[in-house]
Amino acid sequence: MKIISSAFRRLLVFAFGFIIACGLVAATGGSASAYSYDGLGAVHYAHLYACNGVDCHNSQYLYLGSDCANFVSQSIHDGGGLTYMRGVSSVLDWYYDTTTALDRTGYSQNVYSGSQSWVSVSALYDQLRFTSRLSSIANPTMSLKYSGANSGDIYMYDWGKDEGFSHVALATDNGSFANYQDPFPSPLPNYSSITGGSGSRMAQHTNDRDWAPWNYGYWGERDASIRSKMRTKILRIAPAG
Amino acid sequence: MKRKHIIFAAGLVTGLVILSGVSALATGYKFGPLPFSAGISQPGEDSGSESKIEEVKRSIVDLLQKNMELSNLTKNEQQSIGLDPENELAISLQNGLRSVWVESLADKTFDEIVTLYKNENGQGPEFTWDSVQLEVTDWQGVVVSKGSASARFVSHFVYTSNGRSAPDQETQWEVNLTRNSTAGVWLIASRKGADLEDH
Repeated sequence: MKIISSAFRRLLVFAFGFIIACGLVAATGGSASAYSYDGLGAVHYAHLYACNGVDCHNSQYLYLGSDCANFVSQSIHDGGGLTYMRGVSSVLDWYYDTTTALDRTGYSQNVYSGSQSWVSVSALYDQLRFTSRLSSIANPTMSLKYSGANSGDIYMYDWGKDEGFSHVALATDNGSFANYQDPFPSPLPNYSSITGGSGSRMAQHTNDRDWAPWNYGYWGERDASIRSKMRTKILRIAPAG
Repeated sequence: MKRKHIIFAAGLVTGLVILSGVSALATGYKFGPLPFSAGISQPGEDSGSESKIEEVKRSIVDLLQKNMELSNLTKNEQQSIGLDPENELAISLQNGLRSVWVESLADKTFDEIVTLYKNENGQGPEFTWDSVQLEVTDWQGVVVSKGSASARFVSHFVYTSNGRSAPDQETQWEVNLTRNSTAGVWLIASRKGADLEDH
């Protein structure tokens, strides 16, 4: 009888730990708060913080070198209203955060400490897919004039160098491309010279651009063996979740 | 008292592990290493005899330049290859690719380029130049063994037209080569690149 009672007590302690774990998961947001995606809001944000030839990034966020996914995440969160997720699995998390750290010279600076999916193209894609925040995917032909993207969709690019998808931009709207030519690397075509000067437009970071053709990377590639392998996916975010 | 703590901790850990698994199953996620957006790799070390390493470096520059020269076509030339992959220009392109890539990859690349030119139908990008040079700005490790070699490096092309030169963007490449013992030349067996600036 005493043995049973002792084993039962242990079971109770074990169960208590288990329940606490469930509580911890719930308290840290195992499920995301509801959202209603505002594609036009995302576009408004993107136009504010992506500029041709000028650095106009939002100083509330760190500029992270290869900044494309960071910029798209900002646009769909700050402008589009897509809520942070802090899921049970780290791959389902999607949030921005920073922490202070000392550099080699002992100087304190802000460093990125948010989720991988906020700053990584493939992790962002996985996060959207596995959380059902992605409603559809389209595969446009990169050489053609295209106007099928909605405002607030995400363009995801594979540059044909066997690296996989490595770049994202925000689809803004359809219309005339800016009369602008990147100063470097040169000579690249003027935006307005591509597919008759109009079509789906995008905004992006890393090489910051706005009012640019969605397929600008394709039109700047000289090597046919690379161009033949380029691909784009258009990711459409579910309107609500 | 100590034992209670251990049992409590076991319950806590079990709960977290089970909930992670349930979450993964519910979402369809497969556990694995996290992917990264920029495929930039860390520099490695050279390995092999100095003369062989230099030979491989020279071969890589020659092969990539030759490969790029094969794209120096007008829109009309591109269109004609797309329309007739057996015409003289197309055969010249195929032979050119076979002098750069291992044969199976050369033929696959040729098919992909023909499809590209067919789809573009003379309406795709057109870049022509008088000469092109590959400038390697950083060799980041060349490994040479008997019949194969691999190299990691950062480079860009410089195009010259009408006496004016312009550099292309920088890319980090990882290239694998195979030695064609019959012809006594190196050929590209695979190539993977990460742009240091995005398009």
